[in-house]
Amino acid sequence: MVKFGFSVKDNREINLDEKEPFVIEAGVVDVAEVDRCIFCGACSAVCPQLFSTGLSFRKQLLSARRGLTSELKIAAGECLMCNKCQLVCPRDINIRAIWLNLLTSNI
Amino acid sequence: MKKHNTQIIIIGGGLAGLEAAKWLVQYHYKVVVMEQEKIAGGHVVNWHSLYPGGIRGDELINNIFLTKDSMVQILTNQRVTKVEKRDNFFWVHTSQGERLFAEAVLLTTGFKLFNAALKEELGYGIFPNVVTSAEVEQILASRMKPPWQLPPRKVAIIHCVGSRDMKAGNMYCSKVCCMAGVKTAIHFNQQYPMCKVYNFYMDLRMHGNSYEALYLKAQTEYGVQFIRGRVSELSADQYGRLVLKSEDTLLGKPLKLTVDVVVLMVGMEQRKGLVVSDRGKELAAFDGQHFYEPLNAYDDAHKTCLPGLFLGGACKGPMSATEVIVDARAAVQVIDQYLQNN
Repeated sequence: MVKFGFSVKDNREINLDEKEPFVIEAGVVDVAEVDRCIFCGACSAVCPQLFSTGLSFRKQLLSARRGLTSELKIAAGECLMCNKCQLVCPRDINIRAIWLNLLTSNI
Repeated sequence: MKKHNTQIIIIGGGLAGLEAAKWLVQYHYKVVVMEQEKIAGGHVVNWHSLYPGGIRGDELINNIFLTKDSMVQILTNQRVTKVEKRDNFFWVHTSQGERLFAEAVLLTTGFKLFNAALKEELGYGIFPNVVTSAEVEQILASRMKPPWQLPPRKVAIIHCVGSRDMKAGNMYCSKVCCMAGVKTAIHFNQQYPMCKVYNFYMDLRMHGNSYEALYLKAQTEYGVQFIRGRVSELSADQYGRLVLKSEDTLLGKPLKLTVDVVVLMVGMEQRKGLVVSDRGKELAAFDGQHFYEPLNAYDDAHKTCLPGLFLGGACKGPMSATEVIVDARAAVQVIDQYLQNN
């Protein structure tokens, strides 16, 4: 096969028609709590793991809202459970508890 | 007492004009309100509900009429074409060729809505299920027949249509649409409980007491999805539903969504067609290209370069109904002070 030096990426489009946006499984995550998120990024800015692993609660939550849940479990494993994110969250979301629930659940 | 014979003409019988008239007669002035439509009340009468409290627009106007004094004369179907300043009085010319005398003139001409058909990519005027925010208010208030037959299952609300848009010629934020968009999303959920609403925004400007709380309520109680990104393309599928294309800018990924109804939050623009002249010389400041500029935005926010000509309400820039009421009442005080000193 001829190598052209570039390749076609997978389709990155979010299709809200196929995937229901409200896929965050009830029970694992308190839906009413994560609905409060305004995606300001305060949690990821304060996160010690953002620099090393790129962990971002904001990004993962937003992706899950748009139906992209494949990275959720990996991201949960990256969390250090230091709880700095909850301290800075303007909408008072207990982010550590959400990661912990995701880690121990079998989704 | 001189006051009783002093005639003040208010141009524009909307919320600002009627509110100012109501208070000017309390100061014992003779007030004439000129309204170009068949009935006075302006944009507000068509509004289903006004944030933050949710009062009906016509209720708000009726509240003003309840305390109406016989000293207020409302002339409807009167379009003012020209305001002419003479030495210390004004001639107000109407399209019927009449000429009215006034010692002070208050401009409360308000705003006009942005013509959404100019943003072709959003399909207004092409697809019947694309409606403006003003039309939705009338539909929700059962004043207008909805273009959809079945209750909509998915609705997209697009913010900033004709606002903060250099290409549309409007380099300002229309200020009220953020809240109105959140409010409309809640109303859709209340009228059609099975409905899912998506708000496409650039920024959400929740700039007042209890506004942020309404935003939170929309998120948590009604599950309204807020997507940061401007819709760039809209087309119809074979079932007549509308396919939107946008970028989720917070994720940096393209996004596709099919909805039944699209609501465009149209911005506010200055009205054209009124000429203001000072001893025969037309003033460029009132050419209708921009919102009217007061002397300054701080302590002379109601005066203009012409002594005796005052500004009130949304002809100075986008304003919400609550701000218009405050502004009209403040204008009354300034007019009274001016007439006392003359």
